[in-house]
Parts: sequence; C-alpha cells; structure tokens
Amino acid sequence: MAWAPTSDQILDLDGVVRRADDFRFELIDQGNNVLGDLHPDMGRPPQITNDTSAAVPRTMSSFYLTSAEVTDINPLTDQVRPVMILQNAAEYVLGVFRWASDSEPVRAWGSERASTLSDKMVLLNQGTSTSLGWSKGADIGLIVAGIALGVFPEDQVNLNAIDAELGVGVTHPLGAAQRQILAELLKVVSFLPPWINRDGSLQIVPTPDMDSVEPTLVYEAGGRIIDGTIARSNDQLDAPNVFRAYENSGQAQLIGEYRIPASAPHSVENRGYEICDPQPVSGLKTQAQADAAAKSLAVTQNTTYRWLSFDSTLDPRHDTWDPVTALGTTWIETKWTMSLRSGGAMNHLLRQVF
Amino acid sequence: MAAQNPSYPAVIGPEWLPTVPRAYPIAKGQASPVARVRSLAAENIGGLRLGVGSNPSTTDRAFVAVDIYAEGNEAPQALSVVEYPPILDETIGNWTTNAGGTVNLFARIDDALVYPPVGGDYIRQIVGGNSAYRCSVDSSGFPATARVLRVSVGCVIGMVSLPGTAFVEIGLYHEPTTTPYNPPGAIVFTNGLIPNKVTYVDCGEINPVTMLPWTPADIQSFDSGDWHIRFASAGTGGNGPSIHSAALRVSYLPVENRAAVATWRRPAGSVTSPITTDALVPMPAGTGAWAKANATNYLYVPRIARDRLVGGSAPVAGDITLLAAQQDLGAAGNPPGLRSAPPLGPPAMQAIATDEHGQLVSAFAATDVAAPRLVVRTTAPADSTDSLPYLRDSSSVVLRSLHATQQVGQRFTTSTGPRSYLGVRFVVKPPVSQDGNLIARILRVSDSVAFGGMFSITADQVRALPEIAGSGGFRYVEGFLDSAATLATATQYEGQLLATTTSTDPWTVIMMSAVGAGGQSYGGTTDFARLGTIGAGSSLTEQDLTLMFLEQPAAPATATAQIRQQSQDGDGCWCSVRYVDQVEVDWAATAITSSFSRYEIERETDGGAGFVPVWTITTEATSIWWDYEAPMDRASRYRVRVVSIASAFSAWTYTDWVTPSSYGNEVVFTSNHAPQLQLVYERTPEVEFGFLDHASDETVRIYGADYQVAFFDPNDRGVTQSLDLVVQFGREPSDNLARPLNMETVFGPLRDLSRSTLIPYVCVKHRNGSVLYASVTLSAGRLVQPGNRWTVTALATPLTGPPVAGTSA
Repeated sequence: MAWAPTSDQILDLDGVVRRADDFRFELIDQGNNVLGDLHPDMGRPPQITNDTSAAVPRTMSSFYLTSAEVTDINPLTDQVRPVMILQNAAEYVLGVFRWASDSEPVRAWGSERASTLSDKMVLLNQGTSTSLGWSKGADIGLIVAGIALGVFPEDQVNLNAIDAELGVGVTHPLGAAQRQILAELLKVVSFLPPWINRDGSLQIVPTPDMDSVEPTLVYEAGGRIIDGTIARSNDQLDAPNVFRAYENSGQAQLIGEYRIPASAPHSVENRGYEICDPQPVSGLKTQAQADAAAKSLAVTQNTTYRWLSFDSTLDPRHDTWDPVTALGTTWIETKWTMSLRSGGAMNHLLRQVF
Repeated sequence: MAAQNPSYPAVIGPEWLPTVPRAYPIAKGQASPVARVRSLAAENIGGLRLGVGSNPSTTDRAFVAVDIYAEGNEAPQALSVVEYPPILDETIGNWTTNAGGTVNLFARIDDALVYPPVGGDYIRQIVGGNSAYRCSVDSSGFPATARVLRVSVGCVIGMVSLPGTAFVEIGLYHEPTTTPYNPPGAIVFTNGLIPNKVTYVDCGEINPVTMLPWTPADIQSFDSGDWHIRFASAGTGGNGPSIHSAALRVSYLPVENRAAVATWRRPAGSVTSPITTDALVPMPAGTGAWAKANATNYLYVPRIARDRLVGGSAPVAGDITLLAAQQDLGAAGNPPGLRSAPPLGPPAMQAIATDEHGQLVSAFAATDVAAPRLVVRTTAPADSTDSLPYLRDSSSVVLRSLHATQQVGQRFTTSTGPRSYLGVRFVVKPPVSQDGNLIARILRVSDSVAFGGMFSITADQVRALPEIAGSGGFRYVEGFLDSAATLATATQYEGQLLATTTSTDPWTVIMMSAVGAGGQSYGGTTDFARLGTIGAGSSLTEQDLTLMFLEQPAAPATATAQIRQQSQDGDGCWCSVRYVDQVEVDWAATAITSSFSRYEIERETDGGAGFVPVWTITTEATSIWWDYEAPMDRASRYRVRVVSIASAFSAWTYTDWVTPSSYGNEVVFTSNHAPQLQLVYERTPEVEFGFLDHASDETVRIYGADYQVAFFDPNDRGVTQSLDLVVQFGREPSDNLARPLNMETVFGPLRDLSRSTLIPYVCVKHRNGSVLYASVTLSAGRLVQPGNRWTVTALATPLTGPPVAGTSA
C-alpha cells in the first residue's frame, strides 16, 4: 500500500521526514473569480507576515513578477491569492492580497514588478467621509454589521452574534478609520479587533478565553521547531498586572478591572506593586461588560511578561490571533512570518496571557 | 437581422447574441449614432422605423434627420461656398434707391458682400410703415449634384441719417404660399451712419415648406422661381435703414455624399417606440422613393438637424436616444463563428460627432458590435429584409425566467443534412443562490425525439464565469453536447434549455424581441422562441432565444506519415553528417470552406505521455506538414482534425507509426518554428548529465529530534545534457570561394541558433529517442591540433516537457 500521510501528519511532521511543498499564486478579481496564475520569482521567494499589532495585519512582500506577466495585471483592481499545496495535493489558501506598493525595475528584457501586497483590511482602514455617531441604546450588532457590510459583500463577512447596546452615545470624527471605529465598538463587547482571515473574509469574533482554550496548533520538542531558533524574552519592568477598561465619555462612571492571577510571576502579589494598563472603552453599559472588556485587554494589549519566538517548518493552518501550545505552555500568537518556498522557515512570535 | 442570423449550416440558431442594452443619444452637441446595415436586396424605400427612448415629460421639439450614406462616402469633405447677388426686384414696397428711384433696386445692392461696401449706391426705406423688399438671385447655376449644407442671407446694412435707430428684418420668402420665413436673429439693428459689417443670417439646412433638407432644385428656385430673399423694415422716416449689398449664401458639397435622408419631428410629450419617420427621400433629388442598391453597406446616422426656419429659437429636446443592443460576450470577446461571412461581418455601430453642417467628423470605424432597432420600410409598404429587428431591453418580455416548471427553447429548420452538431452556446443569468443543473438538448419538433447528447452545467459553474459588464448578470456559456446531434435536412428542431431550480430563484434567459419589426428575425415567424414543453408551451413567434448549436465538421478522410531523408549537404556547418530523417505528415484536405478555422496536428511517441499538440495549420488547402522535432529511433504517429471558426472540431484521423533513424552519433539542433536554423553535428560519445531537481533541496534540523527533515522542490526541473560537439575538423574555415574566415566563424551557426528569438527553444535530439526542448549554452570552444579539430561544449537545459505547438498557413 502506498505511503499516504494525511495533511495534518505532513504539516505536524508526524511520521513524515520528507516533505515537498509547492505554491500557486492565483490572480483573482474583486469577486474572487480566478483570472489566471502568476509566477513570481521563486529564487527570491515571497514572504507573508501576519502581525496583529499592525493596522493591516497580513502583508506579502518580496513578490517579484517577470516582465512577461507585468502587463497582464491591473494592480488597482486585481488581487493575489497564494495557495500552498502539500505533497498529497491538499491546498491551503494563505490570504487574499491587494497591491499596496510597487516598483518596476527596468531590465534589458523588460520591466519587472517588485511588489508589496496587503490583505483586504486596507479597505476597512479607510477614513469615513462623514463624522459618525450613535446614541445611547443603539444596537452594537447592527452598527458593526452596517459598517462591515458597507465595505464587504455579505459572503465575505463572518459576524458573530452581538447582543449588546451602547451604554452612552458615541461619536467618531470625520476621517476616522472604519477599522478603528469597529475595534472601539468591539472592545465594548470583548471581541477581538476585526481581521481578515486567509480566505479573505472579515472576521468579527469574540476574544478567546485563554483559560479554557485548547489550541490545535502544537509545537513541542521533537516536533517541527527548527533547531537553534528558540528565543524567550520578557517585559520584566513594564508588563502590566492589572488591566482596567473605563468608560471615557464622562456620561457613565464604569471601570472594569482584571487582575492577573496571583500565581503569575509578575502578579501584584509576587511583584509587590501594581502596574496598571488603563484603556478607554467608549459605550460601556454594565459593570459586567466593563470587567469582561478588561479581561479581553489582557489578550489584545501587546504587553506581557513572557514572549516566545521560534522558527518552524511551514504551517498554512495559522491565521490571526491563534492560541498556540508551544513547549508545554499556551500562548496567543501575535505575529508570524513565512517564506513561501519548500523548506522555508515560519517565524512565530507568541505572547503568554495570564 | 436575417443577415446576421442566417441559419448558416455550420451554426444553427441565432448567431447574434445581444447581451447588453444600449441607448445612443440623439441630441444637440452630442456624438450621433452611426449604424451599419447591409442591403440584401434592391428595393424602393419610403421610410424607417426606429426604436427610440424618450422622456415623456419633455415638451421640447427636435427635428431629427437620418442621413443615409453608402459606407465609404461618409468621411467629412471640404465645403464650398457660393454667394448669389440679386438680379431682379420681385417687390419693392416703400424701398427706393439712394436717389429715390423705384426701379432696378437690385442693381444698387448687387456688389460683392464686403466691408466697407463697394460704391456709394444703396437702397433705403425712409417712408415709414413696415415694408418689405424682395428680390431673386442668380442661382440657376447651382450644381444639381450638390449637398446643401446651409442657406444664409448676407447683407451690409446702414442708416440713412441720424439721429435714431433702425432695423432690418432679414429672411426668405416663399412666393407660392406668400409666406415670409425668418430665422432666429432675423431682426438686425443698424450701426448708425457707418454701415454694419457684413451680416449673415443663418436659415439652416431644412426647407420649411417641404420639411426636408434643402435640395439643389430648391437653391435654383431662388432664380426667378419660388423663393426670394427678403428685407423688411418699419423705416422710421428720414432715419430709415439702408442696404448696401446683399446675397444668398449657400454652403455645400459639390457632390451629394448621402444616398437618402429621412426626417422625423419629435412631438411634445410621450413618444411611442418604435417611431415611424415622417419622410424618406433620395438625395440630391429630394423627392420620390429611394432606390436602395443590393449588396451594399449603408450607414444610418440619426442626428438633430438645424431647422432654423422650422423650430426657430425654441429649445431643442435632449431626451431622444436610439435604442440598440450590443453583443458583448465578456472576456471571450466575440469569437469566430458568431458573425456572418464577409463582407457583412458582425453588426456594427459607432458614436461619431457631427460638425455644424451635419457632416460626420470622421469615417466610420465600426467600434461597437451593436445593432439599433431599425426597420427599413419599402414603398409597398413592407419590412425590408435589411431590417435589424431585435429589441434588447430589461422588460419581462425580453428577460424570461427559466426554472423547473418553465423551460425555454428555440426552433430552427435545417437547410441541409444530415449534418452533425456538437457545440452549444448561449447567454444566461444564473440563480442568485440556488444550485442545480442547466441542461441544453435538441428535440425534433414533430415527435419530441431527442437527437444527440446533452450539455449540462451547474449554477455554481455558471456563477463562476465572468459576468458580462452591463448585461445585468448574464454569462456567456460555451460547451459541447455529450455526443453530436445528427440532424436531417429540411426538418424543424427545437433547442431547449431545462433547469431544476424553483421559480423563486430562477435562471434568466434573453429572448430578443422582434415584435413590431415584422418577420425579419431569425427564421422569420416560422422558427421562433418557445416557453414550455413541445405541445404544452406557448410560441413566441416574433422572439428568438439566444441559443445556438455548432456543427461538428467532417474529419480529414486520410492521414499518412512518411520518413523523408533530408540532405545536410551545404547546411552551413562543417560536420560530416549527410542526412537527417524527418517526418512528412499528409492528410486529405477538408472542404468546409468559410467555416474553416484550422487543422490541429498531434504527435504520440511510443512510450511517451500520449498525444501532444505539435502544430496548427490555418489554411484549409494546406495538407502537408513536416515534423523536424520527431524523436529519432523511436516510433511516432500523428493525428489530424479540423476545427471550424465556431470552434467545433472533427473526429481525429490517425497516421501509421513511423520511426526516423539516426545515422551515428549526430546531435540535431532544430525547431519546427524555424527549421531553416537546423544544425547537425557529431558529438563525442561521452555525455554529462546534470540533475536540476536537487538544486533547491534542503534539510532542516528539528529541535529535540534526531537526524533532520528533508524538503525538496516538488517541481520537475529536468536533466541537463552537456554535449561535446565536433563542429569542424580537418580544415580551416573558409567561405564558398575558399577564402579563409576568422577562426570563431565555425561556431557562428551554433551561436545564431542558441541565441535566436525566432524559436521558443532549441530542440536537441540524438539517438535512442532523446529529445530536449532546451536552452543551449555554449562554453569551452576549442581548436585542437593537430587535425584542425574545432570542438565546443553545448549545455542543453530543458525548458519544457511537451513541445510548444506553432502555427503556419
């Protein structure tokens, strides 16, 4: 019988010691219809970065097209969808990207195109043409849906149910980025900031409860971490041990608080003093909402006591804000970078949430 | 539209697929629609019906002239201008000469129209009371072949004495009806004692009596005929006006370039489409019926005419559009087979600006594959077969639902047979979200027996096709029946589309409507669209479904492959190889004539990966092709088929197996794309191979695990061959006259071949079936002595597995 490992076995190097990864770069229109394939220079392989701290998290750089294909694309309207193909022909979409910047070096054989591309969050990162405001009692779910569906078609939005009202009126000035407006609203209901998944769909989902989450992405010794790449670090002096979410409109007096567990190395109890990270959250209505928002900040605020960084073999199953088990501990992944070539490295930056 | 939907044997069903509704403005200051219509018969034409769009609340006027040109005559021409001075007083009223005389006033104002006026004589009106002076002009010599572009009255007026003001009303007069016609701006005030500069009053291009364009006969009738030029004034006593010179001015083309002109005046309020023109006359006669020639392309150009003596200064309506339908099949463009044979070509339109005289500013260039709703009416009266009948709008009559309980069909009657049809094409809008199959099939009308196989496509697949811009969600679908439908001659069949979706989210098809355009649609009123099943549906006798079937051409009757020993003497290189075996492929030419698109030739090599395309021939009479890239010492065979312009293809015709032989250790560098570059050299027996697959392999050491993990490039990069060639031996290089040449000259042909841009790759082949489609890099060229041996190392790096198929006539 032929040797036929599953996709998970291949990606986890579970009994697999020989891999052959391949990549395809689909040129698609704005309706995600495939227009054809592109063939970037794989001698300088494209690189995808997904950084949760960036306004547009997912970007693709080092995307070099030859002169033969430069004229076939319209960088203002076309998109690129890289696909990773395993040796068992399983395919994983790695994102949907739009051209962000271009340079066209002129060679003897024609113009090349060296590009950096961004995911579709750039559409949501545009400023509003008017000031926006909602009064007390407005349905946050409807507001969020209105903004999201104003930018993306319905089939490209994954909107988890939100059953909450604004506790106070909220306004945003003309020119405020819609992504930022959404993020502010989602803080109220303890959701993650909006992000675009690898299929190109807008994700509006709750912040994971790191106490109970069971990650499916696991990195252990003897697994797929590349030797000599592990680095641990910490924010010993700065790591907050108290998170506070406060209603800042002056119309309500709500302050939610989350104190990290006493067992944490930098807890108030162990450290002996409090380092607080207070964050304004407009529109809070109840104390429970405020406390939940404070706990959510512990996940989304980019500060912690422990960090872990390492390189692994490529794993296209990663997306954004993934809980990851690495070396026996559960982390939230804040950034990864993958070089799209067979044998390329995938760098992970993980933050421990207490 | 009969011409574009000819029931051509290679394609049955309407070939014209109007996917996008268009509306070309007919408005002042905007480009005018120009439509090409092929004349299919010599007929006497008396009018037109045009599909027009309008705003029902508009009360403004519009005088529309439809210029009709034989194609090629529409380019703009330099105009001529003539001014005719007065030659006879028709009435003088209170006007006198400057000396008070009352006869031969015309002689005082017949000087050339210049400023300052020539001579001191003039005529005047100082009596008081409104009074007109009229005169004839000497226009009898106006060319009878001319196209009149504009009629004007010119004059130089002044004032007899100060103080005061005076005016002159300048215009035309029609004697039989005793009617003065004054254009906007007819009343011109004098400029004091100093005469005005030359004043021209524009009377436009429309004769207000005939309501047709001015004709040469009209211009000639200003000479003692029906028309006069007229000046009137209230005088105001001693301060009255003077006229120093006057003339009738005519702008024209010496030879009329229009075949005919139709006219239509927009009524106030709503307009019912299609409209019927008020008149249509041949030009330059301007009267009678237009004798339309056969087999001629005519251009129809509706535009707003300058009707200054008819409409005066009333506002001109800007709401009229010419309704048209455009065939736009999206990214596929308009593939061969969806058009009629030359010289007709596909329907064509273009919006072209007109100048102030109504001339098109450029020649017709047929930019849009579109046809207007235009019915040409004979004097019988009847609809001409030239008519373009279809209306493609967004009404529920044209856009029909297709779902599980409502199928649609198109009937057609074969003109020859038996013939086999395989391809199917149609335009359809998929359901919004429902899935399910759409099926196309052919049934015989008389007994509902199905012929051939079916074509099936899912809603998801159709939704994934590119949407035709501006069509409202339609997609152009192409495919093939499971098996060809062999249809008998002179039999009526029905092509059907069936769906399984419910009526709440149906498919939509376009049933282009010829309602109101008579029987000039596909198949007249005999072949038409249907709603519902045979026997239980309804016939739409003036509509046609955008569905067609394409013939499967007959295959070439025979095909043979033969080995031809090609002599290498005098091939420009200095090697000892005398012959190379090539394969000559011959086949019996087909006879599908105007339907022919190409022959496709494929090669199969024993032990290879099956048939691969190797060449395409685009001339039907060409029935021979040489394959220079066939492997040596390995059997190959070929197959040939014919493809029609409608992309339907015949069955394959196969040759027998043939085996080109090698003659030793030769290496052949060749290409089917430029066989004249072929070179053949001996090589040394040793060959080095390089394995490119491993260039990107790498191993990764895993934290906490023994050994390492290997990653490799999954793509086949091929194997290089490094060949040491003997390009010359035994003598110095020399030319044909035995004059010595530079040493490196011996490498010239190989350098030229390796750097040639005429070929996609160099085919490098040698014995035992070895073939590489490669890039050839030369290195280590050497002259080895004794013996004058010139050698070089050629590195062949494979570029592709299958060959690149080329094309020739």
